[in-house]
Amino acid sequence: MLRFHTVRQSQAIDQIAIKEKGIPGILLMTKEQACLLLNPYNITSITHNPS
Amino acid sequence: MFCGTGNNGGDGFVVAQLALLAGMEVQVLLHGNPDSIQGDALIAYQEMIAVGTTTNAFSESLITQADILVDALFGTGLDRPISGQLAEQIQWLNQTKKPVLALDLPSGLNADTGAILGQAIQATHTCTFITRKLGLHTFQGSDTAGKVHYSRLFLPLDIIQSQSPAALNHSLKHWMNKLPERLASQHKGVAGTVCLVGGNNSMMGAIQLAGLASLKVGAGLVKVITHAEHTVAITQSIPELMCYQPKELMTQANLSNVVGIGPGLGLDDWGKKLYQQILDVPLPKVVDADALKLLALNPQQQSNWVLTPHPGEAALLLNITTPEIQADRVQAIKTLQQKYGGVIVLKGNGSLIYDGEHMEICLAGNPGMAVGGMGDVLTGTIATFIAQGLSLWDATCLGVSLHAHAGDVLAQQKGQPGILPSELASVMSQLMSYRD
Repeated sequence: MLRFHTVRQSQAIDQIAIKEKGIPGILLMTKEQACLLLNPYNITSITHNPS
Repeated sequence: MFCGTGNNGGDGFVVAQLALLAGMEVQVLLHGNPDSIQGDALIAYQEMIAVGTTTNAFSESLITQADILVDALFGTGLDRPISGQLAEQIQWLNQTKKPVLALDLPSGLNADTGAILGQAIQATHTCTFITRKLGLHTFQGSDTAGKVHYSRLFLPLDIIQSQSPAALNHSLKHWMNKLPERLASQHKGVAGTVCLVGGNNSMMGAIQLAGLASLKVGAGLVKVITHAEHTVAITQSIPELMCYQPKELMTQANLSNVVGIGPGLGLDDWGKKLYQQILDVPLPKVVDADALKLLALNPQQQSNWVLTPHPGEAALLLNITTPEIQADRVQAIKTLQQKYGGVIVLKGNGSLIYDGEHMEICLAGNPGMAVGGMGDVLTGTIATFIAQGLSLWDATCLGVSLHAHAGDVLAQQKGQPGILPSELASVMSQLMSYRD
């Protein structure tokens, strides 16, 4: 099952993430993930690994 | 990298910095004043500059040299149409046909409605973060976003689930599992009796397609109330359909589990008379095509029906224009449900289904399905699932999903142009057999 949210709901989720979890409001990713992202014909999955 | 000065631009700065560190050659085209960058985006900007990335103004030559463009101009915060020089730049960029990866959503697309705000980046891929946005999948969203990828990144699921979703999408298998098992001892009466009404002069094919779909998805008996002149021809074409003249309407409807009305009904006295009679039949109904136009002339509310308008019919039902419907399909379907009751299907790219409480979006389907007769097939399909005992909601979601997936199977097999509704009915039958 996939869930879809409105912009307002997304912004509310962002605020919870920023305020309660101290997560930045922009992307966190490794350079390997960035490389994966920049190969648009080979995007498989992007997972976050702050370390 | 085509970056703005907000948080979407901040995402772009992060990607630019990491791409540079990974050994890629990166050019950042910054739209806006760097002095206006704030917060986390400013930190990312400073880090990007610290590793040696420089920023440039919009440059056609730099774009021409690029292997891939990244769109990080505007995210969900865009609340005004893109115009002027930036609109021209985006238009030029789109014409280069370069692969474009949009971060979160293509700049210029309304994330809620899927409407283009003035001008939008034409992405080949969009990687959307944290939440799935409805606007990427409905109206112009699919044309603009390309292939959509989703990552909730690092965010714990409970935070995302703290907001109840605006819409859900379930798999075809989920909906198929709603169907009752077919028992060895089953007889045709248990498989549902469907009464379909329509097929006025020169529109016999519409009711025939609805009937064909009913049979193909497993109805036990399909009764067709149609023009007296068409009964013989329809029976000769599809002998399994039981055809009756309009004078038999009430008798046959009362022997059925559901009524589907509209395909080829027409708007003349013949069609109006049948429509009026059906309104009072105390059975669940699927209302489509000309029956929706007649409903728009004299609006009323019923809880026990499914209305399946395309955007043009939805516009008539709400007495507004088709572009107004398309500009906010989510709001349109909510208004339709409030006004008419029951379950509503707003057809079109990213078909929406709403019952006043739940919203489902269909992600399957393709432009090859934009052909006369497709809606008739859907009417017969939904009606059959209701006749087999499913709730209006389950029957509608299953019908829409099965119909769209069958269209995708045909598109994969033979390409989108030339998909015929009659073929689609057969493919639906095949897809249903996979359940067994």
